[in-house]
Amino acid sequence: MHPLQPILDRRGELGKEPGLHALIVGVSEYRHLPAAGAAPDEIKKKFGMTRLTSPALSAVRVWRWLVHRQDKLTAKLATCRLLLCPSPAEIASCPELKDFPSGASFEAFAEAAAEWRTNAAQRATDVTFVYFAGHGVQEANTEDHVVLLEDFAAPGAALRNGVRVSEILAGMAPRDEQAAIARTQFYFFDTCRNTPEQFEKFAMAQVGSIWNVIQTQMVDDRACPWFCAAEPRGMAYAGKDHQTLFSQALLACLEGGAGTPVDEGDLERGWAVSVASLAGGLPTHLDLLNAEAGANQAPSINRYNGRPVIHFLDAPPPVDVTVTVTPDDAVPVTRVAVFDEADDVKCDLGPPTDHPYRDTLQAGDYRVVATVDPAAAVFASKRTTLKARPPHSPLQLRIGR
Amino acid sequence: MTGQSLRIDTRATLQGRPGTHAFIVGVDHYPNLPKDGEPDTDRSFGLRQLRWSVASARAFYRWLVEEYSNPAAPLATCRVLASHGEQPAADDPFADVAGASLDDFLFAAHDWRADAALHPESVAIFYFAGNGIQVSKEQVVLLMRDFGQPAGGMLRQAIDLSTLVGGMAPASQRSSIARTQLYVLETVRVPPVSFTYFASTGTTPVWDLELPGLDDRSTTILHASSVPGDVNRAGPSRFARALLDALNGSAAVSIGENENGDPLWAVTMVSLSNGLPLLIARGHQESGHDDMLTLSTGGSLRATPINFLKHGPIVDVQLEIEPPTAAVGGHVSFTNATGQAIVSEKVDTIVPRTYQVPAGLYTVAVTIPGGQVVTRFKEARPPHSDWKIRLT
Repeated sequence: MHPLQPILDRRGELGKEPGLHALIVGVSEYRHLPAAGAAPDEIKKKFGMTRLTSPALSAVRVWRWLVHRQDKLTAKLATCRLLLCPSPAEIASCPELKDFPSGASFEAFAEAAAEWRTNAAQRATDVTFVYFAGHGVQEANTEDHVVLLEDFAAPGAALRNGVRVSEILAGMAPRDEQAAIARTQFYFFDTCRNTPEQFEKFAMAQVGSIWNVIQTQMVDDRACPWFCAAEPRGMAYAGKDHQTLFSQALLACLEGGAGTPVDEGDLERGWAVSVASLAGGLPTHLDLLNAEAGANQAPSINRYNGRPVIHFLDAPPPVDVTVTVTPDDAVPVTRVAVFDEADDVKCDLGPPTDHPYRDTLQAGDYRVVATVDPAAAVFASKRTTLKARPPHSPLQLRIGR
Repeated sequence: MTGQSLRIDTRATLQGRPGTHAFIVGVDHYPNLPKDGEPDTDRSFGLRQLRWSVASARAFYRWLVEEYSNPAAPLATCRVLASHGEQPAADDPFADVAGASLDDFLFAAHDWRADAALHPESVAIFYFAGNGIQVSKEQVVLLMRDFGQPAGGMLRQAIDLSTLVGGMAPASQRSSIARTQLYVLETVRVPPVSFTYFASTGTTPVWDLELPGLDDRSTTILHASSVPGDVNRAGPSRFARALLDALNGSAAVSIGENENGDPLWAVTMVSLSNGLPLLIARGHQESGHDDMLTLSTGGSLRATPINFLKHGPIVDVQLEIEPPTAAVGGHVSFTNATGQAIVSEKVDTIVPRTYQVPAGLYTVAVTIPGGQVVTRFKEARPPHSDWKIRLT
């Protein structure tokens, strides 16, 4: 297969149904950068950057998730383009990587992006999904975020094989020539956003350009949230199993860790992951991964627009619930029962279980009754409610005297 | 520069503790733009005098002074610039403020940033109402009172929002700058065809470009824009009313309990971003107008509370029962978290009923004729909740 052809194309099958067009890029093996173990001077000369060992496999995991959930996305998966440049370590860990078309140069990216845009410009009800993992920098003069392709740091201007995120987004805006372009666009950039010391001295950064951005009078009415793995001038990290922390957090959220009711007033309509719930869930999941990895990565969200659903879940996701009874002397004499709508007891918590009480419930709304042993007349029983929402719902039960 | 911009100053009381530093600009009168009915000049681009900007800015100012509640960062300073279209009343709090020229703006912005840079837990709020140019989704240019002068660069009396926001980023010289920053803009927008991306660089920089540090701000930018000639009524705009409605509780969320176990409610950066579009959409349905609201955030989006409510908000709840006739002659009750029945009444209609109840989670019990009871948990959530109970 030609590397620029969609690795998946269901347009014929979907017919007139809205579709999602994905562009997934994972660049690990930067051919002009030194290996991680190279001499410090050599690394410094190359802007402090080395070849990576996690973006390509992270991209494949995102691609697999898209394919797995292809009919549960906000629009069914129609096309998917995958540009990969895996490291030997990733191939050793996942030999399947050898079977994918390889190559994520600037030229390849520009061509794939152009074809992806053409596919996405047919119907305003279509959806786009971009995931880019690799190196990225923050420009010193323009504050633009630049993602770097496989041939970054080739001879010539340092950033000529990079692309400004703002240019990608601007080129996907509605205009006369692409009036029907998808109005819902999701972007995920899993890269660092630091500014290498050398870049601060550039009087003018010569960044590569993948398309002309054309003036228009059309209103830009897209919902196009842009999630980044790092804050401006922040770093992004990878964890175990050749997977970036951001992609781990993203996939955990998409699989239900950022689940939210489709309609808060009517839980029977099901559960989904929306932009709003992802914006809330990503930092929480990333904090957990940070703690494990000893990292301090913080995601950022631009052009936040909470409304669009990204993905519909098959069932209410599981939620870790922690119930804390206060004051301390109420704990030995209080039992806590959690009831569902049908008045069935979903958990019964109390001594001798270790306090605070932990359990896992299906996401939903519950009634909570804290019953105090009648012998402990100094305390009064209490009723309250619990909204169990992923990933974790704490409940503080203050027992009155 | 005439008049003073600093209207509120409690810095001495706060003694270096975090505070909220607000900067409010309202521009109705543009001396270099034509009046209604006058022909365009070569630098007016269809823009005219406005009648709602100062009123909107004043409404926001009054809300800050009278309603804003943030114990972690109480209102410390508020700077105001206003270009009045009509002579202000003597008791107008904006009567003698500086007039929103480019110079007025630059001086006030300088002082505002200096105050905001004293504590990272402070809050910086910027509010602008007036004419603007939306060059792209991200690039918004704000036009000062003296915009449209016949000489000099076309955008010399204009400010590029991105430079304003960029200059408020943490930097080595301002490592303690407020990390919570809210920007609210309401502009009449010029179709960007008049300007190229590069032409807009002719705006006046608010401050010198410095290399920022790690940008760990929680920044929310709310930008509402309408086309020239749309509603130009005197008084606060629809957007300003929706914003204040949101801040007063319609965009509130529960943020836990106080030491007595009573629920705490606040409007957070996230809940404002989620709730305001709903209020605007509802306003569109009622008015038939369709202003464009662009929401964007930078840095990390955090649910930082920006206004604490004294009481839980009251929510309009619409209850619909399916099938509609099944419960007629039966009974419905809403029981709150503590077991208190808030609503208990006979069902005597098949059309959806609307109730006003305190925000929170309820047990809704519908008793159908014959005695069968269907129970559902439903949340009354600002600004409006639709509850559907299916009896099948």
